Amino acid sequence: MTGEFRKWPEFSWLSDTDTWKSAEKITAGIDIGTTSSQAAVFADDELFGYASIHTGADFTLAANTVIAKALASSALSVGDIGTIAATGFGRRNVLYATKTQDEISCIAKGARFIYGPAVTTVLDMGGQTTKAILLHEWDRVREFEVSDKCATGMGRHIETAAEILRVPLTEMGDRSLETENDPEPVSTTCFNFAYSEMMSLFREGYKEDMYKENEVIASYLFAVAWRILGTVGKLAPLDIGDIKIKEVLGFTGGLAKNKGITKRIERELNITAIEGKHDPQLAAAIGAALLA
Amino acid sequence: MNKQRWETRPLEIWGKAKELRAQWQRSINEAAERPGAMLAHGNTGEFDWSIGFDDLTVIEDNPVGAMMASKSDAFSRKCRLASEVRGWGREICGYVQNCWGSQFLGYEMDDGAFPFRDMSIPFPDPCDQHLKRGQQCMDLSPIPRWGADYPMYLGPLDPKREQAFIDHTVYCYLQIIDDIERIFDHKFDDEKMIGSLNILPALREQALRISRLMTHTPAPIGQKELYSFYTLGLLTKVDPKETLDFWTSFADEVQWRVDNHIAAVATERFRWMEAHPSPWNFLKYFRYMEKYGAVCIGSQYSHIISGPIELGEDGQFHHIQRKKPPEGQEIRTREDAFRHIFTEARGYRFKDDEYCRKWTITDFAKGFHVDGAIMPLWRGGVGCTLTRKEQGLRLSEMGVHVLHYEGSQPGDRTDLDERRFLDQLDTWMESLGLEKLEA
Amino acid sequence: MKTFKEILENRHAYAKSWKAKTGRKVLGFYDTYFPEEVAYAAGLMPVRILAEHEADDVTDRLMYGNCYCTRDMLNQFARGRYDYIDGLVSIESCQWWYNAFDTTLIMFPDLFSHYLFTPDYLDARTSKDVMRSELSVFAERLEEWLGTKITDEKLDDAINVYNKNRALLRRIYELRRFDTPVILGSETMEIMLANQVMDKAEANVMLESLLSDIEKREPYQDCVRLMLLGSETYDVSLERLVESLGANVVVDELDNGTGCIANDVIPLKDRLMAIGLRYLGKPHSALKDSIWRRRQERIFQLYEDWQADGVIIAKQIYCHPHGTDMYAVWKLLRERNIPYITFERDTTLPQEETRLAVEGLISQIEPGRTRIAGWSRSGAKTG
Repeated sequence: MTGEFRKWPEFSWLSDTDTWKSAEKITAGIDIGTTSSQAAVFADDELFGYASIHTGADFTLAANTVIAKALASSALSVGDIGTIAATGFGRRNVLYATKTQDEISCIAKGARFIYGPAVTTVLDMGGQTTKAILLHEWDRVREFEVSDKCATGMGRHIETAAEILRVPLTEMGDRSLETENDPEPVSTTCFNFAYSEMMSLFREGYKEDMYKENEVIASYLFAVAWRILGTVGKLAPLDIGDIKIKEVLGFTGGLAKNKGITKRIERELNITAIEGKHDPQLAAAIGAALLA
Repeated sequence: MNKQRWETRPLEIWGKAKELRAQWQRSINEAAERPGAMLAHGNTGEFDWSIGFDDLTVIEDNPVGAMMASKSDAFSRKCRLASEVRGWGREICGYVQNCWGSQFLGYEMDDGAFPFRDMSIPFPDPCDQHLKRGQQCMDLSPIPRWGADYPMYLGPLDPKREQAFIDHTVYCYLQIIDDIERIFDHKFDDEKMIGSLNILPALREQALRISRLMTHTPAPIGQKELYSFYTLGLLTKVDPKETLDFWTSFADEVQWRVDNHIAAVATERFRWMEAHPSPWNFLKYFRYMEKYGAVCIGSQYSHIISGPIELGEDGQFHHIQRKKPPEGQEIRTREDAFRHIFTEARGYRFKDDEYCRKWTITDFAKGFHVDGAIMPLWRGGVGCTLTRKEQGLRLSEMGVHVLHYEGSQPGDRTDLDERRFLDQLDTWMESLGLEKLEA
Repeated sequence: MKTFKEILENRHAYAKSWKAKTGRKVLGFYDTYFPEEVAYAAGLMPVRILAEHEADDVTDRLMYGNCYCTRDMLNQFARGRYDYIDGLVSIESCQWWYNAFDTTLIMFPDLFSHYLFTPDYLDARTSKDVMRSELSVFAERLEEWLGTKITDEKLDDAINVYNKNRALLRRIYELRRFDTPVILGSETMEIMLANQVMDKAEANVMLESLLSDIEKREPYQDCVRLMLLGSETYDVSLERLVESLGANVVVDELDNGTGCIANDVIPLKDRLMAIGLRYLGKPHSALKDSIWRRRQERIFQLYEDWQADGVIIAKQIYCHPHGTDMYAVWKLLRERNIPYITFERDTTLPQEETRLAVEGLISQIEPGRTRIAGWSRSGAKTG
């Protein structure tokens, strides 16, 4: 595997102001996930800079790199930041952090920042786990669900699938939506099963036919979406009827950018997720910075 | 290698079976709508005591869930999600998830309203999933529910234990009938129930005729045919007289096929057996195996209507001699009838094959002259999985070629990789030196 | 003095030394519905078969779809860990347990074995008669095997020892009801597990001594109080994880926790009937709670009595009784606004995923620990 198909674009942004110089408090949030790492820096609760990179095998290196990218050409250094909260799978590897914070609170807080106070249901789809969070009207996590053990590593599996299919990860979602009717999903129990079943489909010559290949991708991403529905659906009230998410839904995490997944979830829930003003992948880092 | 070809043709009894099945479905719909009619969840077991109530229809979730699985992947998937998000684990039987998932959704496959049950009667079975089911329809409305046990022990027959078990079981069923009479104000017809006592043995006689005929080469019918009929009289109960007539005609037709060398598979050269239900959404593997000239002669599960059978020294299957009530004891009351039924107790029930009569799996293979066995390994529905690997080992030891494949549960397609399964079949057949006779 | 923790960690050595010391036999059993008093009265030491986290290259040939616990129980036998066991008993209960029992006997056909039918329908008028009959058959089998007579005096002695044992364990649980408990969840579960593999007379002596020690302890700091539900546990890794995150498991509704100490044998002239009634009347396990749902009210009662702030439901993958009960448990917790998390365990605790969820639960419960107001500190709305 060359690794070229699994890549997603890293990104960063830095405010062109120097408001940090007069800020009373500078905070940062570092989210070290299994697949991607994010940093967000706030000056007096105003977003000042952020970055998102591939985590790789060395979590400590990722932590050092991501904050350096977020601060970029600013004169600001890690030592100038008053409080740095680390979260995510590799939070203990952020050696410069002054505190750690749980992911659920960070994602919830970050989602409110990205989507505004209207958002009440947050669906965070990351490289390792899916988290669904129901927020109180004002200030508290009302209920949350974490995907089960078998759904672990979902985001990373999709990267691997992109590599094996030789379809760029960034195109998978759109390609999957080009089918007329959604085929039945492959196994929805775990990603190894889904992957194995997807490979079986290819043996039938699907790779030679672009349309059929799209169907396979659709079947695979439908399985991923279905698995995620099993997590978010648990937040729904226990009444008779279909899953009803009556609340306002916002996606976060890296998979929020995969339309093949988000559109299918929206379709099954009969709901349109709201648009945010920042990259959804930054939610946990932003939340950590705000809670720092 | 046998290159003989036999004539093959569809069964003529198909039409009647479809009619009876439709009659069963209609009875459920009518029972759900007719004022005063009672719709129960559960199963009355092999002996249908519910016949004593004129207006009681009993539905089990097994056939309902299996039908959903076989007819609509999308709907059964939706039902399973409805169950999953309400807390049910992946190990829960697919039948249960489909049927009660539909209840959670509030509608059925055809968009009609889910028929809510008026009561929940027990279906004793060693399978834990059977034990706990029946609570689901109580969770949404406070309907009456009763319990009963599946008493069992290992080792030699023990009269003391037998007696205690019979007393307990009889009491449980009398209680159910008393309560239904009291709560629903419906009179139980003892005479009608007592009069139907001879139906089951007669039904079993006809079914045993078919099982015996299937030991012939070529097999006159295969698993596909059995699957179309085996629930009639057990899980899908209609008029007992009509059911008995059907099985008699069915057995006659199978006899005719044997006499005239009509085969289930024209190129039969490999006979295989199964264990427990097949994946209802993917029955086409039977046809796929036929391409190799392989015929499935059924499973202990699909021969269930023959009742517990054993292989005699003559190489033929016989009914296990059931214990008779004491000489001269007449059956006058419903209690007498239940005592008569439950006197068979341990060792005589279908599931006992896996607990107290483990040798029956090898007897089955021997009696039907099988070359191979395909044993599913189901991840869900504990009763469908228990002892399957051990049975596979036992069959291997006697020289039967065993193939295992994995899936979620017969009513749940989630984990069954259909293409991989067919691959396995190819590899298995080729490893035994068999090639496809048709594309 | 030996601690319960040491006994739990060296339970096989403990049983072997007990055998050497007493010259008596050890009887293995699986479920807490097994009426230990009868075996104890026959001079046996009933030892509960516990699962471990050991590499398994044995059971795949014989089992499929079982929960890890029952697979490991077979694995332990195959590896000779239970080579001191003289007999094995299974009762009518979870089928995976039955499968472990049955398959173990295929490997070790010479073990004394017995299957005791404990009704699943616990509340029928005739259930007690079946139970009584089964206990009498079991007692006769033991008498035949051991060449001894199980007299009323021996049964009385066993009943007293076991009643005392349960009473002492209840006192341990009572200490956890304090606002600031003097014993942690992990310590309690170690005691509970060790107690299940010990001679109860010796356990009682140790418990009395332990109780007088811990009653004098300085209490632990007040923290988030959690309740544990779900499949039985065989180690304390979850309790320890909770403690490492600054919370404490103060009560459980596990079959091998509060479920096995809640009620006693009430003396009757017919000793076997008295024992049978105790087992029929004990708090329902998820499997035996198969007719009218009784678990929920008990869960709520324990939650209230022990002042828990939230609930952790830890289910074994492929534990079907809990897989079927979850609907009703969630319904109860939601209706009463009780915060909870649910996750599945396997051979080992998935540390990171569990940590993530438990930490989220603690944050959700602890007021002021996190504020997700959607408002900035300067008072302006964010987003």
